[in-house]
Amino acid sequence: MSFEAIARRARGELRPALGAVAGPAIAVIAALAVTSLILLALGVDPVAAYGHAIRGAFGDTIGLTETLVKTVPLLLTGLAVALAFRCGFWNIGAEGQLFVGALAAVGVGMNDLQLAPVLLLPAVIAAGFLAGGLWGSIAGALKVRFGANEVLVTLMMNYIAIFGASYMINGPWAVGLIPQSRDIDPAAALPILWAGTRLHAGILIAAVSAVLLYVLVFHTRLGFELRAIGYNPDASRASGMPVGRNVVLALFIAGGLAGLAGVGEVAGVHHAMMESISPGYGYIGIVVALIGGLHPLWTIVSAFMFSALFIGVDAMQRAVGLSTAMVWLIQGSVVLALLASRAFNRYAARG
Amino acid sequence: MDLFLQVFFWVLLLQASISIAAPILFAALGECVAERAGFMNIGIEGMMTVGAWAAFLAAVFTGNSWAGIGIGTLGGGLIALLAAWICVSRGADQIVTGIMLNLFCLGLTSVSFGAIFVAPRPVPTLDPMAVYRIPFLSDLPYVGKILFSHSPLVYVAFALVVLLFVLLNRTTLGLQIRAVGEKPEAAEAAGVDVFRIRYFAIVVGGALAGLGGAVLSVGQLGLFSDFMTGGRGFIALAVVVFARWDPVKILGASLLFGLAEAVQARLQAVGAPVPHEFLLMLPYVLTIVVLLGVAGKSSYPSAVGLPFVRGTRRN
Repeated sequence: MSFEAIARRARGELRPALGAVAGPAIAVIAALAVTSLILLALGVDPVAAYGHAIRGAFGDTIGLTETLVKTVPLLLTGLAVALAFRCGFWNIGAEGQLFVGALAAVGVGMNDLQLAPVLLLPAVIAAGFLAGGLWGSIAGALKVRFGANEVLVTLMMNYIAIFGASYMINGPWAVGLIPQSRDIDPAAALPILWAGTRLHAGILIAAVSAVLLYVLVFHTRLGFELRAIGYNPDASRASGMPVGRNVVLALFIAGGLAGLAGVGEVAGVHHAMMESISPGYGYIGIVVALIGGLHPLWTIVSAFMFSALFIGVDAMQRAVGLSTAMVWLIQGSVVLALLASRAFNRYAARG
Repeated sequence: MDLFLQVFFWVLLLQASISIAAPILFAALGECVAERAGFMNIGIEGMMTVGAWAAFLAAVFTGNSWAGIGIGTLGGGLIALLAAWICVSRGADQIVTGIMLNLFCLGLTSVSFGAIFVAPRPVPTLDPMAVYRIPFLSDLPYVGKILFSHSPLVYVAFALVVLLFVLLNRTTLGLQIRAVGEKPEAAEAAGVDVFRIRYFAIVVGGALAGLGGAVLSVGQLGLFSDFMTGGRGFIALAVVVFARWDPVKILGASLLFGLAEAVQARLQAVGAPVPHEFLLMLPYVLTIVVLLGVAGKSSYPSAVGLPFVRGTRRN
């Protein structure tokens, strides 16, 4: 038997996981208790720390808008994972697809091509989508054509993309000694929606993407075929569906969505390419997609929740002076506790 | 003279390949045991990181490298125990659990290390473990330097290859591990406790990953830094596929990756006209090429990735 044994997971009836609440709630409380113990061991008052977190994420306009700003990459990578999982493809590669999209966005956004200002932003968005999409479809094609294990291939492609980005900002694009590119043309930037905050139009792109993906998955022939392939690739093939082509196409769209996450970070937030462009959005996107039940609209909700967690822990970590890796520690414990609470087991294979 | 220098260069290169391969070899052997029992351990990277971290802290605070190696092994095993509980007892997905374990372990090690060695307290370094030259054998020309002049842990890794080969292929426990990974329902019907065997294999696998991390931090580098395992765990995942779940072939595949790394490091040192980021990509590109090469020819143990529910059958 091939790696399909694992892909079988994605086949079950996929409903939002927000239904049964008691078990998961206990799990989250347990996870926060464990992290409290770790904080105590490190000499930090956990109550004060969580206070900083809640105020940081929801306390004021800046906190709220920052939560929306981080929702953009989490939602887009979540959608990228959800679409791929729907057709039975374990896309661990949203992180790399995001980096490749960001690279393309910066490449076009620096405007060495002298595009007219009106065309620049659309060109940046298109470049990010295309680049991420191609990166994703490579992984799709390698699985379809050679049967290569997609979990490992997408993991490895993440490293290749990140080293590629590192090469560009230390080499051809380096500005002086700082490992980062020069700023993109102001005309390439996504407009700010709320003056005085960093809330940019990427949130609209992400929201529209979620709705379009919902339509694609549930109301088009392609979406039906993708779900069928995820449910049973052999039966789909036997009934005449172009399984290989559809998987590659799905991975193109998925990669493109993750590429748009890169566009949002570059054109909306950082306005340049840098190494810290993603603190693992592509990996958190996997959990965002699962908690959203692989449903594009529920993914909006789960992306917002995880973004609040990001912003809150970020504020906490700055206030109590801990490493930025605090966010991984807390997200890791919360999601592991959720996994242990069987919150996601409805995805498990039935056969 | 030129010829002498060339031979010397190759001897050093091969010797370095073996050292570099050792952490990957430990991790890959651990992964092999876990996968044979039906557990895909994506969290191996995190287990290596925790192993490296625990080993380094223990070695610094006890002043004894071997104590560090032991604690590092234990650390990897403990994280694996958590993974086993979540995936075996609670039936959660192995891949998602693994990815989250990696985040958790990176967070745990980075946050705590930063908090323990907060400025102005300096981050300590250790002396790497001394080379143990095996008497007589290490005096052999060339071969002695390449094979028999290493840190003792390298010999442990070699011995482990044989040990695991025997365990998996020549013992009842090995048969049970393989049965649980291929046909858990049949194993259960034959009276094997599927859960217990899986717990055992996962914890042994995690302990070996932790040992691999400990070899890296305490055995070889004498330091700890965030992300220091740098994807070695993931390379170990690929090594296992490439070697088709056979400990002896895993030795060969690990050495191949060690060689690739050693060549990369030499090219960097002599200032090859290739940007070093491309050289850093090399192991990952190699991994993908290898995966393409073996795809279709290699097949996972058939129950890999599937949670087992007592008293049920799969089709």
